[in-house]
Amino acid sequence: MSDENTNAATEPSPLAEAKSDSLDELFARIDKHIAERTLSSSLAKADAEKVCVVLREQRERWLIAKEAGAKRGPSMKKQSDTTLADLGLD
Amino acid sequence: MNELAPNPSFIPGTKLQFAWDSVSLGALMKCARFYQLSIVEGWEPRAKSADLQFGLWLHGARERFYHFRASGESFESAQALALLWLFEETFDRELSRPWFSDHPEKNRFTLIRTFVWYTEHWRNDPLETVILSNGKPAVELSFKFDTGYKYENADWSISSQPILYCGHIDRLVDFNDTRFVSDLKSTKSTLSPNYFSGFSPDAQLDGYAYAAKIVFGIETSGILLDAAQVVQTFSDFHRHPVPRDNAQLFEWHEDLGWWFSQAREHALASHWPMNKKACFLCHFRKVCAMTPGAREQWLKADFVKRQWNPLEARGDI
Repeated sequence: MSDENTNAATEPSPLAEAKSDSLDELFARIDKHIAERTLSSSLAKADAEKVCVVLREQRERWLIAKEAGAKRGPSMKKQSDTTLADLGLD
Repeated sequence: MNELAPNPSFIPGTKLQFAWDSVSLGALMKCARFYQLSIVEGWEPRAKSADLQFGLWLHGARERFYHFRASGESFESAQALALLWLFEETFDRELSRPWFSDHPEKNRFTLIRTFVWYTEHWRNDPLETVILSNGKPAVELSFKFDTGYKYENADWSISSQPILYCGHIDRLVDFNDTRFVSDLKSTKSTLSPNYFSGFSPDAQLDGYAYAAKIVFGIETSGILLDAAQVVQTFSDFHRHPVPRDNAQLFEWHEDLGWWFSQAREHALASHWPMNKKACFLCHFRKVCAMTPGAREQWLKADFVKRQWNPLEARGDI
């Protein structure tokens, strides 16, 4: 493997910035605010808002999956079951 | 083990409860021994059940959300602020870690998800929370009323203490110029017609409907049940009216008098017989299964004393 390729692999992806924080990270950050008694800070509120955004997106994906399942009808029920992976939870 | 101070909901120096609520009444209806252990003596499992904790926190977060909205916060801001309250409540500062529940459906993540999804689901809520004259939203409203009953003393004279019925109404709402009592429930069950029919009859909802008329002067035809289905992978929500007519409420009040007379009989005789058909899933089952002389020891090992006082108010934010 050339140096050029190695550099390309270790450089941050241009999409990385667009990736939303994971719920685990956000939960940990808010718990840290609680432990450090900084829960009334604007940073803590911003993290709580991000949790709401991520959960809102999960709900939207779940609603789409639910609607698709309903359209497919009962014979396809097994395939339409929502999984942890559908919701990005595993 | 610390002994508890006398329970203020009992007539001093007696085992006669004068301030009742759906929990204590339900305990007596289930089993006199269960009522004795949980209410008269105040034994509770060391750890509150995940179901109970989950419900209390979900109610608390929703209450704060409505308060933030009523004070002028935007939807998103109220959601985030109520969520921060929920995070803090579910964080054990002593152990420096979040609430741990091994319940697959009722844990910290599903609680937080259920709160956010609930507020999203009802973002354009057709029900309007009633705003009280003090500017606060009518959520977690504590009530108590005189049932019109009094105990007969051991000498059959009448006690001067009226018997009260207390409770907390989750939310008063207006819908199409009509006022309703709304009650929030969480369950892992599918929110089918079968689920909602399980609340008729139901002594707790009877009490709310009765209080709505007596305390809040609402001519309601029942309760709006605001249900949350909580499972591992999603939370879903439905509302359903649970009807109660005046004849049913009259019957509830009549029966209330009979249950109070039963409570008096048990207290005066200091006799709390087991209802052995109600042991399934009862947390005292292991204790009651012991020979009588060994029960106290088992209670002290597995339970703690916490006083259940229906006179305690809520909603004081």
